[in-house]
Amino acid sequence: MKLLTHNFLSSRFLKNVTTGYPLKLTIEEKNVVEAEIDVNFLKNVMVKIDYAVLYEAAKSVGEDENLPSPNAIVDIDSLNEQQLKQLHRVLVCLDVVIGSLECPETGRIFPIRDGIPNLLVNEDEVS
Amino acid sequence: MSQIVIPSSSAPYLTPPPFSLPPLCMNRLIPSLARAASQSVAPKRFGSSGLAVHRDTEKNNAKIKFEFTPENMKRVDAIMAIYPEGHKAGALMPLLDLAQRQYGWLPISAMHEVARILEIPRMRAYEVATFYTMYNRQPTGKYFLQVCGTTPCMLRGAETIIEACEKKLGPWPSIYDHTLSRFTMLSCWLRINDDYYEDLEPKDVNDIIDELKAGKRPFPGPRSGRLAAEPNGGLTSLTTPPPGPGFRLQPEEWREQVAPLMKCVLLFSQQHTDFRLAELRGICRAHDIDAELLTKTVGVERAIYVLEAERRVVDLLLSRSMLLKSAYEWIEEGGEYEELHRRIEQRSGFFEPYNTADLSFSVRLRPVGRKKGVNALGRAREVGERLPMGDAPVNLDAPDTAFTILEEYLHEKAPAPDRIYFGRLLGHGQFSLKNDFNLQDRIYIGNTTMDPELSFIQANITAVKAADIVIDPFCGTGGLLIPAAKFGALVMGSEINYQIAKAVGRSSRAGVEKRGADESTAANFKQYGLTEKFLSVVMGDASRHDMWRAVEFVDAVVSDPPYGIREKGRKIGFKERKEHWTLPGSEHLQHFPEKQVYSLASVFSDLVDLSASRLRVGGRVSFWFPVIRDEYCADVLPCHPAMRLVENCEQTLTLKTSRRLLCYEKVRSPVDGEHTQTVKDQYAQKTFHSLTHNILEFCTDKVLHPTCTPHDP
Repeated sequence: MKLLTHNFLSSRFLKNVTTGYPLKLTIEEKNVVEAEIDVNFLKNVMVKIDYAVLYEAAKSVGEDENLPSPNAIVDIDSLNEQQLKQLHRVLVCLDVVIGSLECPETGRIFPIRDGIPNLLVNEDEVS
Repeated sequence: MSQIVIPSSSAPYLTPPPFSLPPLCMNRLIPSLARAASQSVAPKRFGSSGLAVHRDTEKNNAKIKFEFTPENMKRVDAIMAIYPEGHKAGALMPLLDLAQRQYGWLPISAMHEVARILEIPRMRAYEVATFYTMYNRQPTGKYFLQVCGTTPCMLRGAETIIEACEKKLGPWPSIYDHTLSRFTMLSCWLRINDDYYEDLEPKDVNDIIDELKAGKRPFPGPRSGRLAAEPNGGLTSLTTPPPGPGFRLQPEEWREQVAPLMKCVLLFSQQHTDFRLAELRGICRAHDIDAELLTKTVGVERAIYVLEAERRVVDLLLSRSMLLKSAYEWIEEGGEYEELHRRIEQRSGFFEPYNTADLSFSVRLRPVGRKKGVNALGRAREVGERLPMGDAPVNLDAPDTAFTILEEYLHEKAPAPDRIYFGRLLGHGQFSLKNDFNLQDRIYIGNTTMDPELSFIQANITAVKAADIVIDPFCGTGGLLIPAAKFGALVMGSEINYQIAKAVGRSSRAGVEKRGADESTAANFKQYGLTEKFLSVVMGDASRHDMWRAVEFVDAVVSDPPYGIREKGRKIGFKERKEHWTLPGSEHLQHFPEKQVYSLASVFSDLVDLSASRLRVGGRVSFWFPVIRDEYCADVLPCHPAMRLVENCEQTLTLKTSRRLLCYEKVRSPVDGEHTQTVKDQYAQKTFHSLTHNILEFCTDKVLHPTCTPHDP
């Protein structure tokens, strides 16, 4: 599971959960995929995500060094090479192999195994 | 027009009436004309042309001789010289005018003389002379006054002018003459002989007539201070200098961007023709290209279409399309080889840029609609020999310039091609992707993994492009997400089946027992070098839309939901917790939730609802929709007020069933309470599986008891 996946998942389907976003991410094992930096691609992706959430996720797994802070980021072209590299790393390369996602409201844990987050829940947990 | 004749003797042409005649006095001036026209008393008034018919009178009958004077005869010759041979009749109006000026008015014998000179029927001369009010078919006085009384002039006060004239000269009748109205818009005018007076007030009329009486010639023209026909009181339009050339044209730099069009020959696959235009439109949508020009020309009946397009657009289509096999720059075409040879020989200029020693070339032959016949090589050689390519070396395997002969056969058995095209190869489409991504070599496949060709077509129709976020709520082994990733999108899927998501259990491959340890959806993406585009498979229930963040972040949804033939539709319903689910003290993770049947109709309506809520406006969703062909109608398709059905392509499965690739585009964000609806649920009573099954039984019945149909007596 790419770190970016976390940006798009929520636990609102659980009973009595109103927002369920963002989920709390913890990582036990991670993997880094090698890929070339494509600044244009990063630009296009950045407009589609909640960067503050990505930043927090990266921070919680110790990947926030050199990552531009959500308040400071205005223009990708203004980032230095290290910042670009780190942004590329968290957006494209970072792969979560083992870890978990936690519902911010109920604390329900969704495990991540083999890079696959399991959002299946029991019959009594859904509304 | 109302006219009044102030009688005098006729005034010969070029001897304008001397304005020093005795003071204008009606009573004194009448007699000569009154006598001449056998009419008596008072100023003679008549309509512009009087009667349209001619009545012989003493002074006006065909027996009275009319001849042009020798001097005027020269004028006649000069006037007629203007008109080319065979069009001398054009001189009719000037000659009638000349005759009138010579005679003072226009008797019927003058018309005859003009008709004789021009060698036209007399009727032609009558027609013109009676139509135009400038021709006077009765004698006039020395001063001939006409006042226009048509509607525009009347509105501007023509009646007061007539009244003023009457006061001054005595009463006259009003006769309206529409033929002059066009000259008189917005100004009342008075014509006296050849002079026109406009913008008149009653006082002006008095002045003019007084001047005439005094033997002077009143100065012609408008009386309001205008010079000609310009607006009174200054310009109301055209007040600024006119803009120069280029006004309102696109700026120069824009115009330079308009790429020249190239005449192209497009060769299409004859498979999946129902998807052909949808694919082209989808690719154009993904790249913001206007598809109209393209789809107006390209149809589905033939394999070859010739059209003019930008080179950039053709290259783009080639880079994406599965069904566009190849594109060629059009050079020539013909119905048969002889014609093609002749035409190619006339196009020698085309080959000049390619006829150099450092560019190799070849001539290929490609039959379309039939297998290569005998002597295909000979036909290619015959064309090749005629090309002016003496300097370029031949390279059959990897030429720089690949000239191609396309033989189009409309029928497989046709002895000769119906049309032959000759072009220069621009490039090939992406049909090779179906081999590169073939299922035999794919690491991990499921029971219903989509055929690679159709999966790429689906990605094109869904207008997937680089950096898009694409999801598949029923992703299985990722078969539909792989093409999207190939086109540069970031992909995510959800899968409810634990065994499929984890790639464990029985293999879908024939002859293979268990899924191998190396098999996984992620491994597929790795196999194709697309790992960086693969975000994740999420194990989850597609009917729970809220597993996705509740904003419009998705650019495209591609899907092939389970329709119950080879994979069952499943979801998790709500149930009260039961004690036996988990052993005391353990976490509930070990409990595997029980799944319910996910009805086919709600699978599709959920999918469209999910798309309506999570797609960005303008994003597309596409999915395969099974139908019973006989029962299919627009009513069975899901519809949503925020989603517009943009494509609907059929792939036939059996005689009775087919599946349709439906593609919807989100036109706006949905408002609360808007949901997908289906007018007619084809799965209300049965599943698609049982429907197809019943049909088979029904067929069997029919075969076994052919005479027992309900219609039989």
